[in-house]
Amino acid sequence: MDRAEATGFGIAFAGHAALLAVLAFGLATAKIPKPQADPIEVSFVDEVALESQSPTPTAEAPAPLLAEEEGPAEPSAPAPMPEPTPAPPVEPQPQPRVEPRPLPPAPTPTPRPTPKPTPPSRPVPRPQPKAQPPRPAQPAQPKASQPKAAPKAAAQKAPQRPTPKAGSGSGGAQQKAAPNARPTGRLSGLLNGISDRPSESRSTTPPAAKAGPAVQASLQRAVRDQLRPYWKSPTGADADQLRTLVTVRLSRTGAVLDVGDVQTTGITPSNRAQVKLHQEQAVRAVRLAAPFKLPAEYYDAWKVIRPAFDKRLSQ
Amino acid sequence: MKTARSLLAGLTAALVATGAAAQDTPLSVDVTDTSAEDMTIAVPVMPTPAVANTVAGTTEALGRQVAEVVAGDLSRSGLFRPVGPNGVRAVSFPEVTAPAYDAWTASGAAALVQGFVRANADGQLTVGCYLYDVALKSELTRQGYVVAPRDWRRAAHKCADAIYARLSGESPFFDSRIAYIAESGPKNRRIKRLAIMDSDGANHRFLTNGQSTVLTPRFSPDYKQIVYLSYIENRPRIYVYDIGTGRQRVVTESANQTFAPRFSPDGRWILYSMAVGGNTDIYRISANGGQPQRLTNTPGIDVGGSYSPDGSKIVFESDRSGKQQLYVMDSDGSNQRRISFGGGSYATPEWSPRGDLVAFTKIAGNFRVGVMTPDGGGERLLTNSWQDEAPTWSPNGRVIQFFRTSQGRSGGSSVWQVDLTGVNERRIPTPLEGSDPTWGPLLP
Repeated sequence: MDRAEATGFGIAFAGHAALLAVLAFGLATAKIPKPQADPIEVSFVDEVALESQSPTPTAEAPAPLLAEEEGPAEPSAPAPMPEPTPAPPVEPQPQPRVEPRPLPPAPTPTPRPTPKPTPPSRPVPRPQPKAQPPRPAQPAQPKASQPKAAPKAAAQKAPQRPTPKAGSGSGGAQQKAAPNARPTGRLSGLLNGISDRPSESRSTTPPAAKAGPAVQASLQRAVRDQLRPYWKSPTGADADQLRTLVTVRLSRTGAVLDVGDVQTTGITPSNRAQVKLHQEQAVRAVRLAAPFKLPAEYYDAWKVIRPAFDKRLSQ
Repeated sequence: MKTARSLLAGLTAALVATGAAAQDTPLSVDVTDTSAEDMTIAVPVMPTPAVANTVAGTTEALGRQVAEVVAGDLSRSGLFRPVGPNGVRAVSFPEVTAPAYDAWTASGAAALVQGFVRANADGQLTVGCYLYDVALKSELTRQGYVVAPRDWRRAAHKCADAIYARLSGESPFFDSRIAYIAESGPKNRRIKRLAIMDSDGANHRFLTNGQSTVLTPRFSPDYKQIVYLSYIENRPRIYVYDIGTGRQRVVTESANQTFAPRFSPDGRWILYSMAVGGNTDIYRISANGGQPQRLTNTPGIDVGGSYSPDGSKIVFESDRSGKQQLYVMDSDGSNQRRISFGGGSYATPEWSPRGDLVAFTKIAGNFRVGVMTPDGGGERLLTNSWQDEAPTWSPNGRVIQFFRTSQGRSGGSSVWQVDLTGVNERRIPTPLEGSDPTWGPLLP
């Protein structure tokens, strides 16, 4: 027994060792495809805006919660909504964006006209407080006994909806859910007051006042591309070690309001004579590049620019 | 209480400051110039208000020649790409001070040099020189020179100097002279003569007739004298040649071999080396002669002393460590320390007139010219040929001349120059073969 065990153990060990050897050999001789190095332009973003680049959520009141009775709840919906609680017809307004959606043509079997149709938002297959008997497939049925649960869930969802950005996220979700939509009396009120059209925000905050990293990066690229044709570094010993920072205040039209602080680093005894010229050339590039063409909505992000000018000898 | 209040005030101030700063967070952008293109400068013919005859030709012809010299100088600096005077549009005299910017923008020139040549009633020439920024449409600098007609080249060099200084930030250097050894004849009976020329090779002149071999010339700071080594009857001795009178005199009379003479920056001293019984040391002697003073006293060969521009230090080569290496000492011989530590050996150090670098010949297989800082850092080789040696600095310390010996039995030598980036290397035209160049200071 002992012996057999030992033999078995030995065989197992040898087998493992062999396997390991084979694998190692295979790995060693395997031709690992060389990563194709396609050069891509990389711009480093060393300044990360702490604020999100997404716009400030509107201060508007979120859509009203699901009313116990759908009818009366509607009027309390936020006033700004342009939808004039129209007649039952499904297409309340010819919004091109809504149209392509394959809508169930008459989604409301309820005799009462649902004032805010916006059918696509209907779907959310939630546990319905008032279970619909004819649908046995509805898995949520057991929960029907807790009518409170659903409203709460809906309430949590609701505030996220009214972002002015008719973002892809929420829209997509809606679309996905749409096929499952079916006319329910109760749920039709769930998203009352919410349209999937960007609502006209009452908020006066401009969209995305803070430039996020992506916007920052493209602003930097835009500024760099506009400056580069005019930047000609002095050439000479150690000239490539000089780096001049110019702080420039821009007007909304991209014109130069004033050139402030000009600083140069990388000064050595050999290039000291070129510092003044380096700075002069840097300011010249700014003056020649102005007016800068930059998106006005991000003015706050570029009203002060600080380009750093240097030279790198091409290899 | 007081502390608390001041703390509060400080805190408020900090908050306010933070608020203000946050409001104007600048958008930082890196703008890098990666082009290797030199700046294009248009140099049209310089017009004259009235054609007049001078001993150097008509003012009209001179206007073209001056423009040619200016363009040649700018091209030789290696920093610019001058265009003209041939092939660019002619300018009228009134246009000199009111350039047609739009026409020049279309030509692609970034800068524009205009000027005029006018004969004065007293027989002198006035050469005007204007530099414009074509993109900014603004004048960058203007100069005027009154010279004797035969010195028109100097006016052109000065104009080029003004442009170079304005556009490069460096000190000028075109208006200067070069002395070198003109060589001719077969290898075993080589004739070596002392010659001088302008920095562009013009106005070439032989100073000695070649009966005695001449080596290692050096200008005095005022250009009035040249100190050099001459073999007469196979004995090397140090002479000073007076350019004005053409006379030469022996600086130090000694039975020992003396060599590698150099003026101090103030012209009062001559540094040289002298071999005494197998030991070579560096000495200095008053330029007017007198008693020499010994500066080094270690066994071995100490040669090639060169003063720093302020005259306080001397760089020299010594083989005291076994191989030739560079050392720096105070001008009185104290405080000697080695600065070169790379592989191979180092020779013929020359301190830049700017003071920031020391040029040398590096011997490691081939001979190459390089630079390092006076404390031995940042060593950089500028040339790579078979045999480049004996660097000498331009007056502004930005360009180095040296001589190159080509490989082979017939290997001739020629004078070359390279700028500090090591990129712009070019040969200086000389009527004969040349060696041992020395670049004088800017002409007074």
